[in-house]
Amino acid sequence: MMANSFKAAMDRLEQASVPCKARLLERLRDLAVLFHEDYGNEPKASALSDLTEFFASAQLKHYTSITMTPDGGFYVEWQSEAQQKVAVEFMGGGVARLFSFRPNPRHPERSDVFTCTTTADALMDALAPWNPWKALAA
Amino acid sequence: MKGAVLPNSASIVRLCGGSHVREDGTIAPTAFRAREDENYLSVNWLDFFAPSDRPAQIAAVRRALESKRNIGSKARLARLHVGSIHAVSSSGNAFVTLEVRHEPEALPPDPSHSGIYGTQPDDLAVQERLANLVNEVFSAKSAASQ
Repeated sequence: MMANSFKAAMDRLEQASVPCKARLLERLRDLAVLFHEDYGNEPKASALSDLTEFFASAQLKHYTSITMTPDGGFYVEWQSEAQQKVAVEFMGGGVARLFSFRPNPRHPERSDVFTCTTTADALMDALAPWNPWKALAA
Repeated sequence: MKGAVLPNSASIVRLCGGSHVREDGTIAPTAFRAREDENYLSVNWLDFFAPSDRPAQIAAVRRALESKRNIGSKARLARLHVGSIHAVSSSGNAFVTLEVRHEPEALPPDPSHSGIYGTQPDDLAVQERLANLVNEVFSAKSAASQ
């Protein structure tokens, strides 16, 4: 079911089974205020719906960093101890972009970047080849 | 001079809206994403003002920015070294050349306004590198306006 406003999407998140939900809701409320200060708009409701569905299905144990993109999407980052980083941009409309940063094994001063644009509901499948969740979600 | 490339020894600050600041106060890569209609990433050249007096430089930038737009409660000024921005082209991504140029604005007056040229809105690798180059973070609002 698509939420047609940011408030409706927040209401849906309140009803969802998502780890760290109270803190997540607090952060998203803060971000909505800050985004309005910055751009005079509210975040994309469809991006929040996609984020909610992803968090509900992934059931990641740890709270993580969430910020906004200039066009109202959500940018979620996970940093592992091995200097590996995974970021997902929820762009809205069921579309997500995945970024994986890791040190180049032969040139440690460089980062290798893997990117992928996919549907938000296929993110876990898109991530599977790199299997970052094993380290990041433990 | 308008369009002049800033020296590598200079420092610039980027106004980062609060929605791009992580909860720990660090700056997310999306703060370095230009809008589709922007030719460059707006920044301010700190050394344009009162060389070596950092508090005076920051105060001057705050005044210029506050004269142009509303500054959010959690907005930050992220300081980067120009030399490290210019070096991104040679050490991070071989296909990108970044250049910081002086782009003063007259109305409202913003004489230290400058731009980082060469960024693309969808190039998150460069945005990530710029975020990692942040040396220092300041509140974007002056004490008087908080």
